[in-house]
This record gives sequence, C-alpha cells and structure tokens, in this order.
Amino acid sequence: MDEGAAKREEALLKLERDLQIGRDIQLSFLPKALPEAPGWELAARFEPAREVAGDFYDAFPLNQGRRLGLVIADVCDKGVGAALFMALFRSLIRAFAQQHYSLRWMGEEDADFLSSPVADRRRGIPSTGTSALKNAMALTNNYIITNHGDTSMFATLFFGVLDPAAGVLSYVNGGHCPPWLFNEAGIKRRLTPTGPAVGMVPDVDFAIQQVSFAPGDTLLAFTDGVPEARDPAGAFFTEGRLRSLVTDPPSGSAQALVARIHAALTAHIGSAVQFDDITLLAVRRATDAAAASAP
Amino acid sequence: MAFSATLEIVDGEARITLAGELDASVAPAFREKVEAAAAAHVGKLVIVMAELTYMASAGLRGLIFAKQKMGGAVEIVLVGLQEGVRETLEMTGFQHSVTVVDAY
Repeated sequence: MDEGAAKREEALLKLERDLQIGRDIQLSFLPKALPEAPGWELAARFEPAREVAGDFYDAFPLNQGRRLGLVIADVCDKGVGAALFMALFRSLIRAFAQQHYSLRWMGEEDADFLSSPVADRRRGIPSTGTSALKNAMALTNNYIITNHGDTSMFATLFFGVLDPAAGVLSYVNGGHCPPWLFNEAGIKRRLTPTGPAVGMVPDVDFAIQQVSFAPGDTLLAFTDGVPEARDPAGAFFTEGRLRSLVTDPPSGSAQALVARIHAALTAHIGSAVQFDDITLLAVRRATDAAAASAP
Repeated sequence: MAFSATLEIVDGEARITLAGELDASVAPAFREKVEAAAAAHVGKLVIVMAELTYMASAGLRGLIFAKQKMGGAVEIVLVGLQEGVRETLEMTGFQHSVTVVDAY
C-alpha cells in the first residue's frame, strides 16, 4: 500500500473510531431498563443515525416510584458534540429532578389541586408541588446557556412526571414535536410546546400542563427523525403516516405499537442511509379489565 | 436542489440568501457567511429563505450562532420562510428571537 493510501486509511479508521466513541457515549446514557408501575406499560425504541446525533429518551422513578420521570429529547446538530451534550442534558434533568424530589414530595399539593374547582384548575397548575418539573427545566436551561452558551447548542426536550396511581401526567414541553395521547378512537390530545427549546433563551419560565390518562390511553413521544425519515427517493415518512399507524389498527400494547412503527420505518427507509436518530417512547395505561386481572 | 448561501453587503445591511437544504453537512458554509457578515459590522442581517426547502437542527443552531455573532444590537430578519421551516422555528420557540417577514 503506498503512503498516501496508508494515510487515508489511517484517517478513515480514526474517523470510524470517533464515531464509535460518540455512539458508545450516546448508548451509555440511555436507560438500561424502563421502570415499572402496576397498571402501566412502558416501551421504547432507539435507532441511531448513521452519523452520530443527539436524541435520547429517559424514564426514571422519583420519590420511591410514587412518580415516574419521562423524557424525550433531541439535541441539535450531529457529531460527537451532539452526543456529549445529550449526556449533559440527560444528566442535568435527572439530577435536578431527583434532587428536588428527595427534598420535597408533591403528593399533598396534587390532592389539593385535583380537588379544587375545575375553573381554577383550568387556569393552570399552582407553582407548588410541580416545582420539581419547572426547576429541572429552568436550571438545565440556565446551566447550558451560562456554561455553554458559546456553542449555540440546544435541545428540544419534553419532560413529564407521571403519577401512576392517579393517571395524571404533568409536563413541560421545551420546543419538542408534540407527543400524542390517544386511544382506539383516535388522538385525544397533542402535548404542544409550553416553552422554547432548552438552552436557547435565557431565564425562561417554562409553563406546566397536565393531562389525564383514561384506562387504555397511550402516550406516544417521538423525535423528528420519525416523521422526517426519508426513503431512497428522499420522500418523508410524514406525521400523517405515523398517525395512521397509531390509530389503525387500534392501540394494543405499547410494545406492539413501538414494534409496528419501527417496522414501518425500516420498510420506508429501505436502502437509504438513515439520516437522523429515530426515538420512540410509549406509555400505556392498562384497561380496567387488564389492571384487575393483573397479578 | 444543492445548498447555497450567498452574501451581499449593501448600505450597512448584510443579506444572506439561502437555497436548498440546510443540514449538518452544509451548516459550516452558512456559518462562514455569518462570520463574514459580522466582520463587516453591519447594522442588520437579512436572511432570505424563500428558496430554502428544509432546515435541520444544525441550521437552527446556525441561526442561534448568527444571533450571538452579530451581537444584541443587530436585528436579524428572516424573509419568506417556507411552511416546514416556519413550523420548525415556531415549534422550537426561536421566532421570538428574530423578526420574521414574508417579504422584504
């Protein structure tokens, strides 16, 4: 092999090694196992892009499992930098949320809120009790801007805290494509942004919203790599196609839903290079019959 | 359409015209034009996006970079956004950091 070819080979191997390092970082920051809660089913799927990117999902217990933290996020751009920031965002959200919950339980405030008149509830969530959510987002946002503002890095990020006993999800959506809450009749609600992407705007006050799961309801969170997946001719998968997969056939298990979507995406992408990370997180509340017959 | 970014400086205003798809692979070319515009010490940066068919997060990162590079006193105007690009901007909340117009 002549010198020029040897040098090129070396450069290529180094590139491959860097990509592999980036990929390893990314994978090591995804949860090893999803938390469990009686009457609930969680499922997730992550397919990395050919070039390292910065999607992640997370699911973790809070306050001895009385709550579950659910995150899906998409760090901007590509490369090892995106993977590093993915690790940073995921760690900050977890750490700030868990730290706050170890200091204060939101149970009492929840009960007060849910028993208050509907008109009051519609005005918004009180700042007490759900402050762990707001704090995790605001602290992460300001940390990134203060310490890494010169990189222009940001992440679209959805962070929800589920009360599995009450079936209520409180959430903040920082600029992320809206997760869907749906059942066999169709999509009930799109959980649209309640603030900008994280790391983009200083001192943001992220608003909190709530949504209730009826038995049989499923929440599907995804990153834009799903609707924007391209086939060999460059055509997008589209949100419309995802919507039809979600509503027909009617929702079964979260695991079956995620598998069905993944199969359709794989068929669509075909021989094309996968351009962006594909990330799916599904959370399903069992029907009353299923919950009753559970061991 | 292949990506292109062209820069003109006229009367203290920088105008960058984008076309094609702005993704991670071509984002450095956009950043170069922003750096050149910043070096010209203009009072306004106008980014014409009528021919921009797609903008990945790397493109949005480039816009944030533009805002930082140009400094707080320089207005950034985005012109003629196609629907998908406008949706990306509005979903992520960046539209409040710039001026968005249909024509300029």
